[in-house]
Amino acid sequence: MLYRILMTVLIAATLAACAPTIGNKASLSEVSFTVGETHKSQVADTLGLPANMSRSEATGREFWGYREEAELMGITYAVPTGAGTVSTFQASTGEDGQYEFKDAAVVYVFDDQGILLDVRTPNKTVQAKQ
Amino acid sequence: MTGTTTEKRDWKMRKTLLAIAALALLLSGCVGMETKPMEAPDIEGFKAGRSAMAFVYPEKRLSYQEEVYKVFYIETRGITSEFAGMWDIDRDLSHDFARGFQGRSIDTTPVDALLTPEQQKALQGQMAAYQATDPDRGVAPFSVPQELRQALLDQGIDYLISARGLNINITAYSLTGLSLVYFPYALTVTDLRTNQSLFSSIESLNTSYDFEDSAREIEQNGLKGLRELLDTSTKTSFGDKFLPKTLGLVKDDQG
Repeated sequence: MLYRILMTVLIAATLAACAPTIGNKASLSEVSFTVGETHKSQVADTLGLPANMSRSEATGREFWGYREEAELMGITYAVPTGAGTVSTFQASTGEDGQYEFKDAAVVYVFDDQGILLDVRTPNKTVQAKQ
Repeated sequence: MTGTTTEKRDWKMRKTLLAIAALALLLSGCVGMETKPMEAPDIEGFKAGRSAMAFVYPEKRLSYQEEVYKVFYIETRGITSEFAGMWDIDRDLSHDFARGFQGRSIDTTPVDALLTPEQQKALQGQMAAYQATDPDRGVAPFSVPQELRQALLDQGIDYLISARGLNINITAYSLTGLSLVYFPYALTVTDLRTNQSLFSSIESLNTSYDFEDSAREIEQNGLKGLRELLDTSTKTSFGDKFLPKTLGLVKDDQG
């Protein structure tokens, strides 16, 4: 009986665990935009703002880079340290959430009117739809 | 969330207390950085003269960090969002701060009303390049380039109030649906006639908001939510106990 109660509590607690919410509003592999038609505001409405933005003054083109997901920066965990005490520890991955275009999962290229010109997957981790 | 009215009120009160505790903890780290207010003769001149206000945040970026509850441990995840071209934050905050100083009887004009677009771009470039903090000196005042200094003096401006945004940090707590916003900036008041810095310090705009599904809801509609939050936070920072007191515009017994 006690075992069943304990298992119920553990399962309920596990199911209550949260998922990160600061990633893109939609999955990069599931969204579909039309080259020559989609405006950058539609991309922003669908995915959220890009993680990285760059503009070519010469061509007027704008490049928006998106990550697949928010980066893991570290974890905090508690460990019993004896005599009824619990201590918390932190483990860091060394990442600070900043990144460069070369790390982008998908890069959307817009013309000077904000219309989608191209969709690139520099790291080929995501099969982006067009 | 479901529940009785009393349960909802209790939950909202707990979230408010959590926000206050978290902000207090964050701001307590700033207590150790003593800021010297302006000297009394300088304050008199500042109040009598004309000032220009320039707020610059070149990075145009939001840095999110989220604490994700995972039952046996807490994950910290991070991501950035860039908003260049979506919101002219430099213009808006320059105007907000100018209004704040006007409300304190300091005759202040935002720089976009005083400088040409080329001059504004030059000023933004200089403020982007300047290192606000120095390991040896602490906060380093912004040094106004001669050409821009003369351009402002020619317009009858005596002082430049410059604020260089450092980073917009948003920490989200997925368990409570609460986000804390911390936006530090390096503030310098320069007497353009003598090219002397009268005041320099790291200040901050601090606020919080609730979210339903994602802390990034604040990006919707051209960052409307964030704009409103920072506008309110700026107004609050011009209350007696905050920025005016730090600058020395309000005496201790008035604060």
